[in-house]
Amino acid sequence: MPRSAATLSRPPARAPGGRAPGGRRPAPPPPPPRRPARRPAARPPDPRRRLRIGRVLLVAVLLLCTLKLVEVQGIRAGDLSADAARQRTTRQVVPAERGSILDRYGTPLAFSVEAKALVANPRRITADWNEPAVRSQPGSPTADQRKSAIALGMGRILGTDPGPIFQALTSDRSYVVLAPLVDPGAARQVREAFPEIAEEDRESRQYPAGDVAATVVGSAAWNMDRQKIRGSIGLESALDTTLAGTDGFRVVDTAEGSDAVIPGTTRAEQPAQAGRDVVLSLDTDLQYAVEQRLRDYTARVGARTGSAVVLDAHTGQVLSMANSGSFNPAAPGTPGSQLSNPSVTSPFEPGSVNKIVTMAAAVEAGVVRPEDVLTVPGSIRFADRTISDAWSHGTIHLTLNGVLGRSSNVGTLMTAQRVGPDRFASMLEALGIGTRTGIELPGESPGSVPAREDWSGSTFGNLPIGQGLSMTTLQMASMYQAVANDGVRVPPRIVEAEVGADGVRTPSPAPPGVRAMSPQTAHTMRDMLQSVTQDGHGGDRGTGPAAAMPGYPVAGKTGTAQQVDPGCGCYSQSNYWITFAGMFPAQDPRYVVALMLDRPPGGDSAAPLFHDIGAYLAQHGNVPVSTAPPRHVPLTLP
Amino acid sequence: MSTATLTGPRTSGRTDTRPDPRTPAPARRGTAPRRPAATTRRDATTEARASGTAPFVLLIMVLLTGGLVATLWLSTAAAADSYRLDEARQVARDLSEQSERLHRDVEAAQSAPALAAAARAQGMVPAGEPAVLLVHPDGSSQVIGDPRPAQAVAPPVTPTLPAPATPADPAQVNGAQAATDGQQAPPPAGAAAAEDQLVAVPDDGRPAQDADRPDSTDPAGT
Repeated sequence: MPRSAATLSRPPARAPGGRAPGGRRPAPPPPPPRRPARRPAARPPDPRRRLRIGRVLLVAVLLLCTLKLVEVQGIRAGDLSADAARQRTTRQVVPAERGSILDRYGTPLAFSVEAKALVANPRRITADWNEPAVRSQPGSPTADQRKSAIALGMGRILGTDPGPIFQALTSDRSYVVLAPLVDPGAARQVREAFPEIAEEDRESRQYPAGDVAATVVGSAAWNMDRQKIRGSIGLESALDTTLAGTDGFRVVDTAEGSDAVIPGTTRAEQPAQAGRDVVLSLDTDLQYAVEQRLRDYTARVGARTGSAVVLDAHTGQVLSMANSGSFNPAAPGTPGSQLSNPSVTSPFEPGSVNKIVTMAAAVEAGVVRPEDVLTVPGSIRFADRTISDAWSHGTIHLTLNGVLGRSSNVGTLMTAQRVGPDRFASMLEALGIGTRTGIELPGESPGSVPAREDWSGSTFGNLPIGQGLSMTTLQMASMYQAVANDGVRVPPRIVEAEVGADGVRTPSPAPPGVRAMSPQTAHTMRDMLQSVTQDGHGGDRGTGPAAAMPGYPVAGKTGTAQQVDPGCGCYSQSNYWITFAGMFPAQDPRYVVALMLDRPPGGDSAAPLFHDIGAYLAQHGNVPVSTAPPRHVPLTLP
Repeated sequence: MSTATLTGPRTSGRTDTRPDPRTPAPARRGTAPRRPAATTRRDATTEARASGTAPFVLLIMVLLTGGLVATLWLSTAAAADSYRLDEARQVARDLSEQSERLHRDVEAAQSAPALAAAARAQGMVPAGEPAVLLVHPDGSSQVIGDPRPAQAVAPPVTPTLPAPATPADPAQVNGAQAATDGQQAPPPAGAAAAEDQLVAVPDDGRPAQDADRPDSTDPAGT
């Protein structure tokens, strides 16, 4: 202790400072004599003065630092730390994977895979390769040589034409997309070979079935603005929010100027919610078969377009919805593509298919029975119009079966008069004509039915025979589904269920059924509709025996409707909508099929197409054959 | 402060009673006869202390060296592990990419149009409408439908077909036609198939179709 005190007291600085050493033990005296000894030799500058100045300076600097410290740590602390955080903190989007679209058996119709876009900055490539330091190196390629090497290399790795890549690289722009959707492995290969090329995350939508069901499923493509894949057509568009899911985010620190995440700096994280898978009620194999048959038949009869809908007779689910035109969902812009889905968007006048409305209303009201015989003249007057049958005849005797089976306009209108317009209108409404079915597909048309109060005298001469009102192929199928399902019309639906990312399947709620007619009436209607496919001689032959299938009784109805000629505003004498709607097996139907052909030049019936599709359905659905002899009832009486 | 003052005297007292080698006081004050004894004692304690310090220093050195080696070894191991981790990640990424690619290829190859094209390429033709052989409980059987051999049809009209389905169609289909026991499909082959399917309906359905047309004399006033 005493020794250390001596060492401490050695610096003389304190002693001259005027401060008394206090209680300190007096130190050995040597220093004082030493100092005076030097002083005479030393020149004027006084070290004490220097030290004092130094001390003052030091204190001043310290004071400044303290002030700055207070400013930085106290006054501006919030701003500065916010600035720093802003520089460091990056909010990274965690993309949500888009859900798949599956058919009823889980076969994917659309799904997403990871992909990369290869991008480059041509200006920078030019600048980098034109730098003097680079140019002075012997053998270094020019910017253009380098670009052509990149284009050739990319073409080789990706298996594409290097021409467009080279063109993009030589353009005077700072951002070009060289390849929009590249397999991640290939993208990495390119990036390793050519460091000038950068990659960006993309999602590639795959449509393994190609154009099959494309008008229903639609198409989705990368949206640059949203940096996300977006549905633009069909269900991809209508169910976009369900399919897309919710992007998550992650707040992390990154090294400035790069995307390298500093480990352990994740501050907030919200995981992405993957999009939900959508399970459709479609059956891809059936869809393919129906599309092929429809396309073949449409081409064979020379119709402009055609559409076909197959419904499950009991649930009203859409098993197939086909249009003669389609498109490749991977390239929707290709010329000749048909992007719309006319089965639900394009209404048409149904023609005689609509006669079941009159018949069902009449049987339901009990004003007629199938065996009743009507004395049908060659034509009938309705207000100012004369309506006759498609085949000229004098007065004949048709059973009600015959009126439907032979599609007599006059007989139908006679029945309609007995039913009355009100009961007819309410049956039309119960069968869903004039209102949207509410199917999940976009752009559904409700069709059109003139409002009851606007009916003129001739309106009621038109509607029962399916002119002057319009419906879609889907509505037509739904109308017959009511007959097939013992009078209860279940509005058709195409989305069967949704499957979450956790694999939990949520079935779509079944729409409430609408009772259109009693089960007895539906049963009678199915019997009567078999008269249409009845084969016989002369007056006992229905209008659609071509739809009949051996072993499967078919109940259906043919239809031919005149189209409106836009030139004269009148009904055309040469352009027709040819329709057919039916079900089988007739007394316990499993399938309902509705067909429409637009303007076949020869006016061919759609019944053979029903036969083609029905034969496939019977085989595909393992429908048991019926051994009962074909139903045969008299249609025309002498 | 007060503690310091209190301990002061005690320390000095202890120095008096128990000679401490650190304090030179006894040496200064001591008499001649006591000196050698004190020196020996001090040497002995110094030796003892030296022999006690050396192992300690050694221990510390060993510990430090051990720690250094361990740190080096751990960091090397960690670096090596990070390489392995990186490698494993790369392999996992490659495999997941491969599985995604295979999944995509399988789905494309399994799709209805691709299967149909592959079947056509192998010379297969659609079976058409089958006849059913029904065996009754009494053993008798009944044929329902009209059994007939399948016929080659023209390739279906496909305006846009996915890439895998397109190649090698026409040649294969021609082969398929030749394979169906010499039956030549008259052009257009599709029409021939249609006629077959119409066989179920004798005569043609023309007049019946006409029956559908509503009154054609009077344009509807809608």
